[in-house]
Amino acid sequence: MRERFKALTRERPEHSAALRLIALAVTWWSGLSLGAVGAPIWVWAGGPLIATLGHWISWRTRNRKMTVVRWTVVLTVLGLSALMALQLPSAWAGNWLPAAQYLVFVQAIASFDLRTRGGLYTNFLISATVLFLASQLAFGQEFLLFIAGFFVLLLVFLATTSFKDAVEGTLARASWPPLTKALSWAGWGGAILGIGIGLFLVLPWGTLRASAGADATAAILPFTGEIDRPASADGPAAPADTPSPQPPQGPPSTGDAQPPPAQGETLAAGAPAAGEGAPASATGPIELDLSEEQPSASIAVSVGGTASQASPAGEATDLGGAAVDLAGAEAATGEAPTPTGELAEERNQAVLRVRSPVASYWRGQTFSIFDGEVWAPDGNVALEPSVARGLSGRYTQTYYVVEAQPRPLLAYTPLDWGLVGRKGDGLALEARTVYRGVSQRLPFEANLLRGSVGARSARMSRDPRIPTAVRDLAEEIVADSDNLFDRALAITQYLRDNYSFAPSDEGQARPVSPEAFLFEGDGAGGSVDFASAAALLARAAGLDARVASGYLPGGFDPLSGAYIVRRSDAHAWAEVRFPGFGWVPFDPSPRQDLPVEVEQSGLSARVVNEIFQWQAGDTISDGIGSAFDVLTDDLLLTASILLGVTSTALLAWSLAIRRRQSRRLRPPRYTGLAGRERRQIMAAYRSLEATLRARRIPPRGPAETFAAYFARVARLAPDLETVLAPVRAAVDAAAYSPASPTREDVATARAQVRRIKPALRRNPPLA
Amino acid sequence: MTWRAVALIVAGGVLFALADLTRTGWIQLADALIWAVVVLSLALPSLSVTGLQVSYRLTHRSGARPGPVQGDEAKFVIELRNPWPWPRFGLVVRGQMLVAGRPHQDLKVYVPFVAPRGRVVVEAPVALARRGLHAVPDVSIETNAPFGVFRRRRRVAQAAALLVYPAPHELRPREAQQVTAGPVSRQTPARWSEEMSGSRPYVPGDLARDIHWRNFARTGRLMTRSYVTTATKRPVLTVSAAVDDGLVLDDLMRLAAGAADRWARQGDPVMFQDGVQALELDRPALMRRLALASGDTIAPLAEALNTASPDAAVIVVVWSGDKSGLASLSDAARRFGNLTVLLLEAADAPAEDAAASIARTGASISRFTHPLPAPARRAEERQRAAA
Repeated sequence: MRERFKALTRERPEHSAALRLIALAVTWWSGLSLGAVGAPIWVWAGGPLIATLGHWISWRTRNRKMTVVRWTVVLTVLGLSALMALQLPSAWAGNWLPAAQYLVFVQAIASFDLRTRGGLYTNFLISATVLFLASQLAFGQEFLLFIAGFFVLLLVFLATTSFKDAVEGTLARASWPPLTKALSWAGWGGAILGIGIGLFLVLPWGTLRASAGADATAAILPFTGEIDRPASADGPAAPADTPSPQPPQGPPSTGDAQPPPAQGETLAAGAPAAGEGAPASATGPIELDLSEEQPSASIAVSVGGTASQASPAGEATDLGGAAVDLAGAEAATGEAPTPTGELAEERNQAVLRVRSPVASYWRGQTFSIFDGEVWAPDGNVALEPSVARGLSGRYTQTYYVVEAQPRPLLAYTPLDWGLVGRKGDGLALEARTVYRGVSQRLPFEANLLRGSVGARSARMSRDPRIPTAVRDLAEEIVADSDNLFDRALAITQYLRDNYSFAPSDEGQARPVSPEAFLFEGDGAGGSVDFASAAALLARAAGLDARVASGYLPGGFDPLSGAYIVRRSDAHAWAEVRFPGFGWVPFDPSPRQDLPVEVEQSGLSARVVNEIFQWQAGDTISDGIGSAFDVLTDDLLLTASILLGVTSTALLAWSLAIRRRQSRRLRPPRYTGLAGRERRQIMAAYRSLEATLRARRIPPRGPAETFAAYFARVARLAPDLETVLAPVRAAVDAAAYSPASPTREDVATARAQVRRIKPALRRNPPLA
Repeated sequence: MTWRAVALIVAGGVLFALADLTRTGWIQLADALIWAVVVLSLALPSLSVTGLQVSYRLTHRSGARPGPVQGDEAKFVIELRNPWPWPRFGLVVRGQMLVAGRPHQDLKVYVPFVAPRGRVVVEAPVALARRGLHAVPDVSIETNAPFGVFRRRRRVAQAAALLVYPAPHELRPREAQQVTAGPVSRQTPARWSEEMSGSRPYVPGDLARDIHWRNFARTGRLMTRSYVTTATKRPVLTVSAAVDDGLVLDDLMRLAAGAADRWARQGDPVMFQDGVQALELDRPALMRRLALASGDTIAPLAEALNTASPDAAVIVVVWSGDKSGLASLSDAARRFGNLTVLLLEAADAPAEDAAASIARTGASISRFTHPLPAPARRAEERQRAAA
């Protein structure tokens, strides 16, 4: 054991320059990947440069014992580790860049004492870790190039080491024609790619998340009031009921908007919260400000009463004092004419990429100040104090800004945010900026919110800037509601039921204030109209409410693992503050593309769903027809099924071959021999053969006689000759002699066979 | 399964967890590719080894000689036949050549590719440094191609053996004269009283005084006298094989073969004393005996000398470390009138005492140093190498 351990730990210098070069290439590759996600040049180029020098020195000294260098390396790495320990809290919060930088320099320093194969493996491991950390900060599809490059280098390294070990110490080796070699490698590469893609499609991604309590479709979505309708797992919600096209001529009855109690229960789970929201002031300037920094796809509020802001999408609506522009976001909901050409492209332009374990409305700006006409924005990013116990209720998001943003957008409920890789001042974010957000998941569940203890805010309801008509309407809507949550839900439901969603159409007259939207218009409006009306009604009903603007969760990109938020996802909604829960989102807009649940299931889940759908068919022909439809509609599904069937067939084939081989090699049982003594002797012989086989003496071959077999055994185990001689005679007699052996022969043979094992222990076979 | 497979599977598992928890698609893709490598590496070795037909042999071109001798080069020929319609990759054939049943040399041959329904024959040169039966009882054929992740191995047992004769050590003229004529210190060489039978072509090592100058003048070729040897003067060769070291035993047999060759050049067959009886053997039979000789097949020297005829001209080949053999020589010297001792001694420990005691008995002694010079390569090998 001691010798084995020594052999295991003995240093064997690696003399292959090719392997060394591959290891160096992978070091550079991982460094470049770090550069691609925003690491400074002194890290992504400096580290590999030092590593190059280290590789050269350790290559030149690979046969020397470099004690001083080794200890210097160890002490330097320890020093770096001590420095790194200071960065651990940041790393734990999701900022892995310092950890990646640390690893790059550890790798560079360790390369000064990199002389063995094990060292090269470690080099690969560190590079893989750096690449993984970089991948968590990358959003562009081009990062796939780094993954592919690393994988190719890994395969080249494995193949080279395997080949080197195979040819080492050979007396001769056969040739391999270059064309055949190239074809073989192409075949292997294709097979890996094919099997890999097949596995990528069928592996049960999401299993661990589900088992860890983080549902694969976890999302924090606002209350919409449509709590009678069950949530669909298939994507966007079904079309909302469009209210009558007639504009309301007064406060309609709210009798049909009673809030069922189940909606919030499926939306969030987390620690109880007691957060305090931003102050909702009822005083101050009553203007929504549309500065030049405002992105086209957020709520744009102008100063003064005449501003009219044209968005890149060419959509602007003058609200008579409050210009609201949703940049065509709402035009994509299907209620407006379908955008074409450049307009459609602009609406599909991504503005943000977010990697987050939880889908959420991404909130950018909040508006708390109402002057009787419009809402004015709050100044700072609306962060809330942490109320989660420990870290379990927190989650981090990484944002990649595609289009410049005036302020960070954050998921519910935001606790903190910060830039990654560089420092910046102010809230404005340039394009290609990466920042992180830390949020907490609060239990926005209907039952909990109904029990939220909070007195009706008389201050809010008595605000003189709230028009009387609005106040009256609010009182009628919430007349049957006895708690804060039901009041908010009733208002949301009322708006969804009685007003229609109309994305901004050019030339179409639109309500210009909440009051006008509620009472004077045609009952149609954009999300800002709905949000501002809901917030105003909520305040009139005594709730602490405000308007929030930002983006819908966007589409999930399975490759980068990020939500791609586009201009068309721009949205506004209302927030109501609940004591102990902070600001809770309510979305009164009957937009068709509002997410009910965000689909994140992989192909495996889809396959299972499809199977269940087939079973739902009434007849076999229906099942076959639907199966055909599925196969023809979904090429990926078809390819994966074909791949699965082929792989299974290949596996079964190889197993069958192996089984046939083993059957062929199975020793005969000699059960057909006449005479009990013969069979007993042959049974003893079989036992002997098995014993010798265990000692690596191959059993008797199909064309081998007993004499030849025993001669072979005697050659390999000369000391057994005396023990084997009687067995051989008995077996010869049992197999070939016309005279049946006696019981004494059987006893002798058995006794001799019993002596074999101790004899083998004393004198093991030669080889 | 190799350690590399374990590492790759662990990496695949860890990456699966990371990809699953972070929901990063390209990490999932990388993980899927790692599993693809695992799957491919699991299938390919089995497909490469299963059903492959393997045969091997040891061959040697002996030419006119009865067989290979020490110093020759043999071929380990391995033939792989692929009966199936898919190719085989990265096959390593490993075996061990046993000499006298003990491991002697590792054999390893690499076959990168066997075409579907194809056949590959590889010849590996094997140096025959030892005498005796060279056997390769079985070989293993294995592959872990292309990435060294999983290994599949199969054993193939087949009889492949080659008997290698000892390379006769070329005696120097003085040593050769002692072997064939007894001690040179004697005033009257025994041969002078013998009847000359004729002459034969000169071979290196013949004594200058035996050169037949008259025939040389007649024929133009250097000729050597040959004599009629009486039956009682038939040489008896005996070797002390009580040696643990196989290399020393090899050198003893080389000395014995060199001495026998000396006698054979004179046309006199050598009697080989193995302890039971003195056998009159022709050269191939004698060489075969010497090739297979071991401590088990040859009796101790004392026993062999006891059974030899006192009138015989006895040639004893003995190792200086063989104390019992050396002790028996002092008695033997009194019994035999013509005793020649070829003493093999270690290069770093000359056996001066042993040599002196043998000399005191009146026996003729020639001393040789172990290890003996490497056997000269055969002419045909030289020609082949030159070609």
